[in-house]
Amino acid sequence: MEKTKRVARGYLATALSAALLSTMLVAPSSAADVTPERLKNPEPENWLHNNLDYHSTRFSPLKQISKANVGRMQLAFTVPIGGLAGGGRWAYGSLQGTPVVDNGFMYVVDGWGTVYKIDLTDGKSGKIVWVMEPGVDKADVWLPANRGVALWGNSVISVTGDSRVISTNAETGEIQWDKDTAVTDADSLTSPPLVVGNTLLVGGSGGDRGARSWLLALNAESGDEMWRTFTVPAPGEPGSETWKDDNNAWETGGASMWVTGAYDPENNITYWGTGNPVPMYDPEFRPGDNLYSNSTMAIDVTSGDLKWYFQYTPGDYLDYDEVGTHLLYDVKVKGEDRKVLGHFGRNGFYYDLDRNTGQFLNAVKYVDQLNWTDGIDQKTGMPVEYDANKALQEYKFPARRGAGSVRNCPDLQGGVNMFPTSFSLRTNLAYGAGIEGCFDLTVDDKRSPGGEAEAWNGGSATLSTALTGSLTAVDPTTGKQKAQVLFKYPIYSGVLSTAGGIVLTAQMDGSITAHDDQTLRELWSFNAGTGVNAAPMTYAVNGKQYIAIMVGMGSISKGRLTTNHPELANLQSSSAVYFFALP
Amino acid sequence: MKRVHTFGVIAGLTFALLAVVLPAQAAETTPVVSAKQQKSVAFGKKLYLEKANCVFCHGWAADGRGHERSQVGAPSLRTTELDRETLEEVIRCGRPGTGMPFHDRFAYTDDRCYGSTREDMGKDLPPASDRGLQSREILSVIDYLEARIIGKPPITVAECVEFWGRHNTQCDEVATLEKQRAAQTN
Repeated sequence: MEKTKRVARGYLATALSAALLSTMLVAPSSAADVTPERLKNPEPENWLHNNLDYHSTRFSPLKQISKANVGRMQLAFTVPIGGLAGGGRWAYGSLQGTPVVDNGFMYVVDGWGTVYKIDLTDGKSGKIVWVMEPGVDKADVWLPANRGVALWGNSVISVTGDSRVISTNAETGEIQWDKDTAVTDADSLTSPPLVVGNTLLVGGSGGDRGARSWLLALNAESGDEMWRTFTVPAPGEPGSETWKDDNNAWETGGASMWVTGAYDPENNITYWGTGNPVPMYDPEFRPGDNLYSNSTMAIDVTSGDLKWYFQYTPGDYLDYDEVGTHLLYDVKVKGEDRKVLGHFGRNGFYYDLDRNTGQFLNAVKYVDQLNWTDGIDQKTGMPVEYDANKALQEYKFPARRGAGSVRNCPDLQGGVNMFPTSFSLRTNLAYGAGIEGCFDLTVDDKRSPGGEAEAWNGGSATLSTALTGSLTAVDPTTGKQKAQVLFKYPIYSGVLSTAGGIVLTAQMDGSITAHDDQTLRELWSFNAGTGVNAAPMTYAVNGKQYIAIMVGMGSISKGRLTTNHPELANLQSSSAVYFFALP
Repeated sequence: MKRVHTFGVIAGLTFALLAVVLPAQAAETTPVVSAKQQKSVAFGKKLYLEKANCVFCHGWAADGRGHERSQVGAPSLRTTELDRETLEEVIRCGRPGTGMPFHDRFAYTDDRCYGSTREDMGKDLPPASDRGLQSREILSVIDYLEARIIGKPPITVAECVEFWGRHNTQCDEVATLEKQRAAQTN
């Protein structure tokens, strides 16, 4: 800590002299520029990336708050922000973001894309320094979902639901550039870019309304486009043979990249997950494996070229997007040193892949309730029912037109959905938290493209059981589950692990909990009185460690919660950031 | 409540008589009656969009084109044949076995809805609406549906702009639909 504090002061002094020299009028910069070097090696007290670091570990080296003392952790202060109010077709907004923190200043974004800069330097309160409203018509926002901002230089990079990327001056809150990234009206953006050097990597959203999605590279300085790689191949391109329909389904094929990816500086590859093919419940509209839906795509940052891919659920009809966090770590697997990409699949399995080649290493069921397949073939990584010669995959309970309702588990929302996961460099365990439950699915081709209903779902899905939650620790060296705790309510939050030996998450009844990182035994809890849709994070200012989390729930998570948990029917929402610390 | 209602009926009757006998003078009383009706229609629209959020499943034009994130399958109300009384019952009590929620917070606590309690309904119990609606709000929603939705022709861009108060991406989709319709008729 001492060393880092000195470094921070050094930055401040440099910034101060620069400001004095340049104009003698401008207030000194409160933080040093976020350089490529800092992004590669973030200081322990800061949280510079959406997923903390390039390996997306969400493992913080901070250890002041530890398993020995977390029981005494208290609410330090709260900062109400906007974002709860509805608009357009939505009754409510939502808060799904993970804050970033740079030298005592936090940047958060609400579901409508409004960015807030919060001064945390006095350690006792959060003072909003500026608010950047992006000027979006809420009726143009497909989903009021936004998962964070990125930092580059002296800029805060954010996205909007109408597919714009915005660069804002971190000091003043003034917009520097505003870039429309849409290829079609279906495109949308919901997650912050990943910053590599001077490149912004932006993953497209809007797949479920018929976007053919992409990963886009922008110049961070100007917003100019560098390359764009589509996630669904055009006819004639490799992979196009996996779209065997006569409907031009590829044009509206989905496979969106709606969660920020990971990056390996050693091989210059960025890893992004893709969503389901569209229409999601009607495979007969789009027979074939539908590459590169439900996949991890490994893409060269300089060229945008696809290096390898791994598809988790080919020919999906269960809405098992695989956009969730890609954890990068180096461990021994079966006694051999491997560079691994670990992933909690929305389909209920945890996967280890070789991150240089995409080679499948192992998979283990991590949810409690799973019936859609009898398991994963430990040689190929494919579901055991998978048959490469079939145009329509028949997992255990296939969805077909006219076949009525089929029940599958996990629920269509997971498992672990977009909820960020964590890999602890202290325990070498991966942690994921999500939903336990099942759903009933009926195919309805009137709800596929061209159908009279003009919707993109291809069917309808209803809850068949009450949704509950689980937090699971997986040991990637053995490919086995190490510990699990089941919760009464589902989790739409995410996970943080720290060098203090704790793991944190939050349930939909507002319970924020800390657990032992080996046993997952609960060590501390606080109830915020409203559902949580965002992941916890941690930072330190003036030598003191804080845990922060955005508190407030959106329409979908609440609607699905209260159907089978009537005791929470009157739960109200809020829009606030909560901060916890030791007394 | 009852008195207000009676007054409304009398005012309406008076207006009808005046309209027949003295059309010129009657024009002055027209706004009194229609303003109240207009207010209810406007209030009903606001409820449809915001508090009850009907728009999420039924679509802004109530043509059944709901949001992709809804449960989907909500019917078009433009072509509904339900009368006022049945509409009121469906909004109050929901539709058992479907995603249509009940808006009377006390539905199924006694037998006011279909003679059934929560236990009687079992797994067919409709979901509860998020914020509920009081009786007069339900009547305003129906006033809105009757004035602007039920029996109306296929949606147009002009109707979309009127609904939202501006042209937005919702209206772009309508423009596409209009083109498809034109192509079919040609």
